[in-house]
This record gives sequence, structure tokens and C-alpha cells, in this order.
Amino acid sequence: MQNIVILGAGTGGTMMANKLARTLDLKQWSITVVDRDNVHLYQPGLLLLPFGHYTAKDIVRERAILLPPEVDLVFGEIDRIAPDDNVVALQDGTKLPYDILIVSTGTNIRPEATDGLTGPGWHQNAFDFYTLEGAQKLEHALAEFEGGRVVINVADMPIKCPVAPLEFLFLAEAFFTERGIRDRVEIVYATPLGSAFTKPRASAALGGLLDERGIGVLPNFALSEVDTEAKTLSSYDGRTENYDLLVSVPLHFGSAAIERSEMGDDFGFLPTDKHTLQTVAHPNIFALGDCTNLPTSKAGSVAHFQAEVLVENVLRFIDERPLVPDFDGHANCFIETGYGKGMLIDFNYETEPLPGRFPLPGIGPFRLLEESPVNHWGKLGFKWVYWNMLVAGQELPIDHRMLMAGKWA
Amino acid sequence: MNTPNESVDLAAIAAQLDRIDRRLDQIERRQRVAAELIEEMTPIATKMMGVGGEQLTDLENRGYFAFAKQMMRIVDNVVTAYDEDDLKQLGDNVVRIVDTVKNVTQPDILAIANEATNAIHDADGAEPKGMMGMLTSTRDKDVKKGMAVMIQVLKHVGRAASSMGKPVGSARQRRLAATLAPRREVPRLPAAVPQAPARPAPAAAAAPAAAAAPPTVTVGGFAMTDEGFLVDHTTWTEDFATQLAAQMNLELTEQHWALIRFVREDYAASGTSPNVRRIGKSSPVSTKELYAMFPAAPAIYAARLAGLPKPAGCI
Repeated sequence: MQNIVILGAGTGGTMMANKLARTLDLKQWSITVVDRDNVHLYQPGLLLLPFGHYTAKDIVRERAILLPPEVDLVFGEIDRIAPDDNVVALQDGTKLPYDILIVSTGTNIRPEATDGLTGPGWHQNAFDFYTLEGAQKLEHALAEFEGGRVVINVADMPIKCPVAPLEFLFLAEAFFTERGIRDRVEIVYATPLGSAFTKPRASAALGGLLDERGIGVLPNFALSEVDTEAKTLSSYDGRTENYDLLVSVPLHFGSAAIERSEMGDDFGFLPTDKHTLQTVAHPNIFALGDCTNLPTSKAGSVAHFQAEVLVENVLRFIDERPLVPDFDGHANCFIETGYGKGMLIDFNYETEPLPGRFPLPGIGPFRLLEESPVNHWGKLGFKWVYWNMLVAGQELPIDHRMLMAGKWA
Repeated sequence: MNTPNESVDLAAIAAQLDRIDRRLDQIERRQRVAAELIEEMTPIATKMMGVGGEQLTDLENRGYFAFAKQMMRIVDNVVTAYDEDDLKQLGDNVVRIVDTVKNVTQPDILAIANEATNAIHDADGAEPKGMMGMLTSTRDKDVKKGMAVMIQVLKHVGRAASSMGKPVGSARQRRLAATLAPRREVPRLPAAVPQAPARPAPAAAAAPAAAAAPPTVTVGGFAMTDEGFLVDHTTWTEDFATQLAAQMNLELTEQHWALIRFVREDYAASGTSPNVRRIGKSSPVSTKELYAMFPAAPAIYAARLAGLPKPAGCI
């Protein structure tokens, strides 16, 4: 009996478990999945929760239900991976030997890594929306907010869902407008990047949107520290900005277990081959999702497209056949723009987001780099697809490679 | 030993369980059917999407969607130009109109029209005739027939024109009169329908991402983008960095070079220029030193000097 061990029962791990359970000969292979808890969070829902659109119940399910019965689900904190011995050690002493290891441990925020961010005002006047607790506390703060300066800040890259801060700006603008207090609220985006939109086509299509809605941008803001008592945030170049409500997207790191195993880069992300998803250091260890160091967005759709390639490569690895370098960095992301409308972007390693129609040329129904209600409905409808098709490892009729069909070059 | 009551209860419960069991069986069967359907349909749906996608791409490339969009504008113009009454009259008279067209396009009528057209074409060859010439032509059989036809036409037109002047009795005749009466001014359709482009026009772009942008600034023979970045990072030399720095009134120290080397190596390894966080953590230069070198947007300056593309996010 050979063992496949999957670390992490989030989006990537659950998809891989479901796909492998269907394709492997389970008389020859056992599949074990490790996670620290039984709470599978639909992370895209965290964006809408602070605005009262979702509650915790809507966006949480038990991990166990989403995994196939043939898979062994083990709860525990990972201590470290010992790749030379092909063993994963858990903190409670359990040892999990593996023939193939799939790492899907994701990425998490560490607000404490920024000076002062987790001071007395943390979750009082400064919030994250990348955790369930943060999003819930922010919901209260937004509901009680009567006016002042709201600053949305990204500490630095990489972050998961790089469009989420932009979505938050649009949703906040609509939220305050619909509450009738928009004229009492100043909304500002402090970003470490050179501008809100950094790609030419996206910039041309959307650059005016922030101006139109009176949202200010502070570019090249590399966060050095936050003072939650004085309610200020400062950048390394000496700028200090005050806020009444700070919505922070803190620094992201890979899993501490990866760091302990000394397998990650400086921020705990796993060096992985861009196209085959095999880790650079160990041939029998693969990775997908947010835990890698790949130069593409950290997004659920990326994990989905990776999973299709990874299943193929795991099977090839087992058969000692050459791996296919089939992953092209494809990402596909809905972007809420407020007032019942949204946008869609589709891109990969080589190609920036382009305008057009997706997935069918001319027909769509989704519009790329263009606001439309259909895109918004698509984003909302996606929750059902996520729970019932995506994490179930069900194939979707969307190619894992990014296609130029429907795009206007 | 069960009491009689208990036995009856047990039997009833057993029967109930039996029913539930059968129900579950049914549900399971249906669920399996549905699951199998999804499994079967998915590869088919994927294939359909692929084929559908190809065909639609073909249509798009041939300009169908752009054309359809322009057609909507034509329809829009027509709809806004004509109102309900116009359409009502059109409807009332459509039979007469179609009849007229039908009559006009009868083969023999068309033949006559054709002949007339040919004659006009051959007008060059026709010799001008004086009074005597006209008289002699009236003896020609064909000319005599043509004159008879023309006189009939004149008669009918005259009759119709006369009835226009008289007050008309029936509503139908009134409508006819209205139809034949001069139309009020309606806005004409634009003389030229906007050309449907072969592909939808691309949005204006500040600078194309993938291909080399047309260089507008040069540093000693190196092509640059209009934002001041080297167009092709493989053409970088130390000389480029020195020259660019000179243009920025900057003299490159050992620390600058260490930074540039790190940034170039990092780009080669990962495919992206490192940001402030990465430079501060992993390079020989600390964040503080970095900002001492470049007080504003240092990662961008480092990328520029290192001949790398401007750092960007995903959107």
C-alpha cells in the first residue's frame, strides 16, 4: 500500500483529494489529508460579509463533508516535513509517511509582522477582512461608522486575492452612498504599487473609475508602521497619513510548518516549478494554491486550474512518465464594483487582463474588463459552484489554459 | 416475552423501517442517476464549449458581432425616425404596396423596363431627329406600339391624379389620398453606415504589455519605453545603468551595484522584479539603506536601473 499525503484541506487540498480518490486505484494507494481544524471557509465571501451580504453560516462548511469517504482526514498541527525521510511529523507526535506529498497549506496574514498594527486599536479602529473574526468585527465597525477618513491599505505584496482591496473600495463607496452618508466619508487607497491599476489595458479601461467615485489613491506607500492610538499609518519614505477607520490587508506569509521545515523562501512560500507544479527541491513533493512562490495571483481559480494539471502530473509521476509543463498561470477573477455590478478578468503568466467576452466570444455572457450586472450575478452564483462542483473536484467546462478566444487584443 | 401490544408495535415499526429503507433506495438510485448524468455531460459540455468557442471566434474575427452591434444602431435610427402612425399606414397599405411591386416586377413589365434602359444606354448611338424624322418614326411598328403603351400609362396616371383633387368619400380612399400626399420631413438615415471593423477596435492603451513599446526616450543607444524603462531587459549592460544614473544626477556606489545585481538575479530566478519587502529581507541592502538611496518608490528605481520591466501587479 502506497501513501499520498495532502497537507491542507482548503480549496486546493479538497480538490486534489476528490480528484485523486476518483482516479487512483484505492487498493494500491491510500490518501490522507491533514488540517488543523474542520472549518472550511469560502474565502471570497469574506469580502461581502462586512457589508452585511453574508453571515458566517453562509460561508463556512465542515471540511469532512467536502472530502470523499475514501480519504483519511487527520486533524492536527503540522510540526515539520522531513523530505529526506519522506515523512510528515505532526505536533502531537503522529508520523505520516508518504510516497507522494502534495502541499496545499495556503497563506495567512500576520498583522503582528507590521510594527504597531496589532496595538490597542487592533479590531477597534484597524481591521482585516481576511479572517472570519476580522470580517465580523469590521462589519460592526462599518455599521456604526458615522463619517471620517477610511483608509484601505495593503502592507505589501504578495497577498491573496490581489483585487480584493479594490473591490473593498468600490463596495465601501456604494455602502456609504446607499446609507446616505457618502459626503461625510473620505475613502483612500494606500497601495505599495505605483498605481491602483498597473497593467496598461486594465488601466485604460478602469483608471477613471476611482476618480469618478471620489476615491483617493496614495501610491508607492510601503507600510513601515501603524499607530492605532494616534490612528496613523506611515510609510518608509516618511509619509504619515491619519485615519478614522483602517482596513488593512497585512503582510502574508506561507505556513509556519514550511518555515520550520526550512523548505520555504524568505516568506515561507514553497519554490515550485511554474508549469509542472513539482517542487524545485524534491521530485516527490508537489504544491498548489497559495503556498507556492509562483509569480501568479494567489486566487482560488488558480488553484482550480492547477489541480487539473497536477492530477495529470501525479499520475505521470506514479507511472514514471515525464511530467507535462501544462500550467500557464491562468487566473480568472470576478471583481465587485458596487451597485449590483461587477467585472471579470482572465489572464495568465504571459498575458495581462484583456477586454472581451468570456467564456464564449461575442456571446459571453461575462464581460471582461467591463462593468456589468451579469458579472456580479456570476460572482454571487459562484458560491454554489464552489461548494458543489469546484471543491468536489468536478470538472468545469472552462479550459485550464487561458484562451485568447473572445478577447480583443 | 413481548406483550401482545409490544409485538404489534414492533411489527409496525419494522414495516415503517422497511418503507423508509425502500424510500432511501429510491433516493439513492435517483441521486446516482443525476450524478452519472453530470459526469457524462461534463466532458461533452467541455467539448461543446470548445467547438462553440471556435465557431464564435471565427464569427468574431469575421466581424459578425461588430456588425450586429452596428445593425442595432440602424434599427435604432429607424425606430426613432418613424412613429406608430407611420407604421399603421404602412400596415394598411402594405398589400397595395406589395401588389405594386409585384406588378412592376412581372417578367413582361421588367422586360419593357429593361428595353427602355437599354435604349437609354444606347442613347449615344441615337441620331437626333428633326420634325420630319419624328413623323417617319411613327410609321415604325414598334414605335407605334410604344406610343400606345405610353398613352395608356398617361391615362391611368391622369385618372389617379384627378381623383386626388376631389373630396373622397370612403375612409379607404382618404387613406389612399393621405398615402399619396407629400410626406412630412423625416430624418434621413446616415448616408454611410458605419463600417463594421473586421475586429472590434482595441481600447486605447497607454503602452502594450507584451510586445516592445515604441521607444520615445533613449539612453545612449538603448531603446526605452515612454515611462523610462528598458524595452528589452536582455540588452542591459552596466554602461546602461551608469548612463541612466547620470541622467538622474546619480552616481552609482558599490551599494547601488549590489542592489542592481540582486534585483537582476531575482528577476532571472522568479520572473518578477522584487518589491521593497523582498529587497529589505533578502538583498544585501536593508530597507533603511534602500530608502536612503531612493527616498521615493525605490523598488521602481531599482528595476529601472537594472533594466527590468516596471514592477506591476496582476491588474
